[in-house]
Amino acid sequence: MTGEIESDSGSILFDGNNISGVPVHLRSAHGLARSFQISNIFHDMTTWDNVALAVQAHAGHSFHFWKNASQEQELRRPAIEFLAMVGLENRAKFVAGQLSHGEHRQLEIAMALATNPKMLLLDEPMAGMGPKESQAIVKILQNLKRKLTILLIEHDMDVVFTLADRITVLVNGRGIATDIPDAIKKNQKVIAAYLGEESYHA
Amino acid sequence: MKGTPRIIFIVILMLGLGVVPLLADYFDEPFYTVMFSRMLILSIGAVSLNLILGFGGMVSFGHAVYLGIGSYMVGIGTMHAVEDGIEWMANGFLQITLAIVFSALTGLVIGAISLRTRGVYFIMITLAFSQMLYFVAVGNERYGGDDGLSLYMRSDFNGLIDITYDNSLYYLNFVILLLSLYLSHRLINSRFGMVIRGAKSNEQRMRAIGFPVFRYQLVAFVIAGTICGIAGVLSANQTEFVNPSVMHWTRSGDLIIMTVLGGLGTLFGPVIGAVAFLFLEEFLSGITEYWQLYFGPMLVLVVIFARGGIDGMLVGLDKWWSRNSTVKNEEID
Repeated sequence: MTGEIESDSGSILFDGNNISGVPVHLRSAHGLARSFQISNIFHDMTTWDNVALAVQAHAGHSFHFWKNASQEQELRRPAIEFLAMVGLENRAKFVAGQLSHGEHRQLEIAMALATNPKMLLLDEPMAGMGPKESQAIVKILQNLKRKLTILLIEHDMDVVFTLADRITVLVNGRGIATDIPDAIKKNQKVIAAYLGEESYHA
Repeated sequence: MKGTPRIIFIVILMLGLGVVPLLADYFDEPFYTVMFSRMLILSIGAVSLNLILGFGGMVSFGHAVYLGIGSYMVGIGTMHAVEDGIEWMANGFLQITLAIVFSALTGLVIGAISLRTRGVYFIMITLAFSQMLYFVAVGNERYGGDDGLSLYMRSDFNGLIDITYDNSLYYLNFVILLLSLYLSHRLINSRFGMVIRGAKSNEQRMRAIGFPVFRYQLVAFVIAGTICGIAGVLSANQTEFVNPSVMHWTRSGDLIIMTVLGGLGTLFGPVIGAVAFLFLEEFLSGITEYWQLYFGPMLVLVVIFARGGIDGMLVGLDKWWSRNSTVKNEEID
């Protein structure tokens, strides 16, 4: 989906365009944003810088050699708004590497949002989180799903059934069912595979 | 800005560099002007390397090639001016322009190819390119080949700056060093600089949020090469001699050592590194012929114990200082 690994077969249609062979950085321009399973942020920059950089990515080309980017309001102000959306505004001036694991995930979502996506691809945003932290993320996502499409890859059933409008169940890389949550709960094949190692897509 | 030990050190260093010729004249030791002049020139080279190495994470092992290009622009021009009487070829503005153009073109070609690779491959390819150009210079008998070219005059700047005197050349070097420091300060804090630093920090992430990283890195690579090309012009004028060894891979290695020794990815680190490197070289080689035997372990110690180079040590000193001064303030309260 994100273009890091080429697909073996099939094609990916996104918003009416075939993006199968499109390089990673252009997928972002199409409106596809992702978070990573392992926290993937700029550890040596401040939280604010992290998001500002994501804003900058979609504010035209970056061949500006002279003006101080950390004083440009058109980058800094949206960045702090996105941080506020995920509840990290009081962490803006901390170096990102010092934040907790849960905060890293929140930062990831803020960065993904800053790229102004039509669809947000979240790869296990709750991985390795305590129940309290993942509750915070669920809350954030509940607000977000009204504004844009979210593709969530998640193992945690409670989270999936709380958030999802449509669920696809994958077993060994194959989709065995796609339906609304209530129907999925009753699906025989899903119940059969229920105790195995499967992922849920919402 | 608070007067921390690090800032005080850097201010003293820069002011000190500013008055070297005056002191050398006063003590009648003109040799020091020449020695510090070399430091300034290599500082410019190290500052330019730091743009891609320190801020961009691109370990170019061929940066001295631009020193060579700049030097040969002076060498070739001056040779034609002296031997064939084509006086305009000794014009310094022309030589600097040509050095900029050729360094940029070389950087564009080397960068376009080597930036498609990463890690050790990038190091090896930049090294291979620089050695290729080194052997071109060695094989080129028309322009001195292995023996190089002696310059019978320095570049002529239309009488605006007369660099026949070591002192005036020194101040030309000093001004260009200050300009390149200011330029890199602006660059690294601009949007462009943020992209370069972001790519060093996490390239995969940069792509995912939508940056075409390659083109920014290539431009940074070209800019760094161009600045170093200007340093080459100054270097040829300083030594009044050009030979292929200015772009030998050991010179590229020296530039990397200076940058690492001073502090990667800090504005003044490369200047500190270049001054320390040449100072140690001068000092140690005065004591023993085998000075490198002592210099090597010193570098190893710096790399192991002071990850941020000398500038990193100063930052550590700052922390210690601020801890102590807050303790003192509390005592007063």
